Amino acid sequence: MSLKDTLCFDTWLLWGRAGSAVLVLTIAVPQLGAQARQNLPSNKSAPAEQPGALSKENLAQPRPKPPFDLTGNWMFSAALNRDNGVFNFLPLPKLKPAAKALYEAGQKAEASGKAFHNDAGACWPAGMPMMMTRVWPNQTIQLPTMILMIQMLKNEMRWIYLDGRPHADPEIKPPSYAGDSIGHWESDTLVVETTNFESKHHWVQTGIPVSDQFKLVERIKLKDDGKTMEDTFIMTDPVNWEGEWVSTKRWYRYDNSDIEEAYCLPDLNDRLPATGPGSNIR
Amino acid sequence: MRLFNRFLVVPFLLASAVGLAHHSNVMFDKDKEISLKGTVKEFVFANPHVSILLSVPDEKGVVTDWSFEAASTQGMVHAGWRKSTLKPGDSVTIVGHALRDGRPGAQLVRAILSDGTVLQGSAGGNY
Repeated sequence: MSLKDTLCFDTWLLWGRAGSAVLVLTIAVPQLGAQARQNLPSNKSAPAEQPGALSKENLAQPRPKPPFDLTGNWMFSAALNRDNGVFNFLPLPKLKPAAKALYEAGQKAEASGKAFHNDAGACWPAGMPMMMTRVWPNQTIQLPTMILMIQMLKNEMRWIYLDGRPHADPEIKPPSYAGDSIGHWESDTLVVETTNFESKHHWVQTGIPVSDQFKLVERIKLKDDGKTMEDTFIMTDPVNWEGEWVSTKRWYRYDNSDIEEAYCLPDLNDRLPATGPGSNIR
Repeated sequence: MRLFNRFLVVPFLLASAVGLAHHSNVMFDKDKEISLKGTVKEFVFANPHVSILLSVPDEKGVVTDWSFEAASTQGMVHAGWRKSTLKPGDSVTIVGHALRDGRPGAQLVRAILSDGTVLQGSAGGNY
């Protein structure tokens, strides 16, 4: 073998070895990655999948017949709520000093013709419980596993799970304006407990904020031969008031209607006299 | 076209036709009504609130644009309003509850169209 032939042979040998190395790396690296992923601590793995509220498997589970069906459109009515503060939740609880000062500042602002921290008017979500007391239809769909409520105003939604699941772990579900609602039936009453609220720009009513310790229990009944929905709100928030804040609200069935899109749009909002600059104190 | 500009303040006779909106409405003076005749500059048929921008001249011919906020499209439709009810250039008289701080804005209570038709701000006191 000549020197030239030897060099050529060595070159091919080198290319062959390099190719083998690439082949080995191509096969081995992903396997190493998979192996590394398998070795992650279990508390960082994806949560186990559970049947969703709309899964056929979940919907088909045998369950006792619920005492009533809330499916329909519900309209909040001032006439039905004269005794409880109408759009506010009365009677008020004993407010903690900071909340009391904020509430009084809100009363003073409103007396002077200004809205006070009117975040719902500034396109922030009204959230719970305020979204339930707007004079727009609330479209409610009841399934065996879940109740979906869509408030037409700003199309805010809430989901009440009835399939026996526990509250979502706040480690994997962030706080929200509607909160995390779990319901169950007690005789003729739907009891809904809601936790894990977002507190940013979130108010129960003018001047009374929602803290991250806010918790809501609702006792919902159907009355007047199914024509009236009644909801007793039992609210606790140790940051802002003492004990339970209890107020009962009512809606009338308004089924000859459908809801439609009604988002809060910043460009239109800024031009309305009530929500434009100058109408709101912060 | 003769546009009169003076606010016609009339006693408060009717309950506000517009229920609670997506915001507080404490900024409107619900104890009295103003009546303004002018020319439609803009008619926005949209949710959550229909709105009208009305050019209103005063005695000296100085024009001020008034912003009227109304109910939702559903509430307005139930009261007889349609998307084509008003267009830029139309003459209309609008009765409303003005902003308490004097800025040129108001909550629409009713409108009197150029043919004399009276349209309430919404039907049944709802949204």
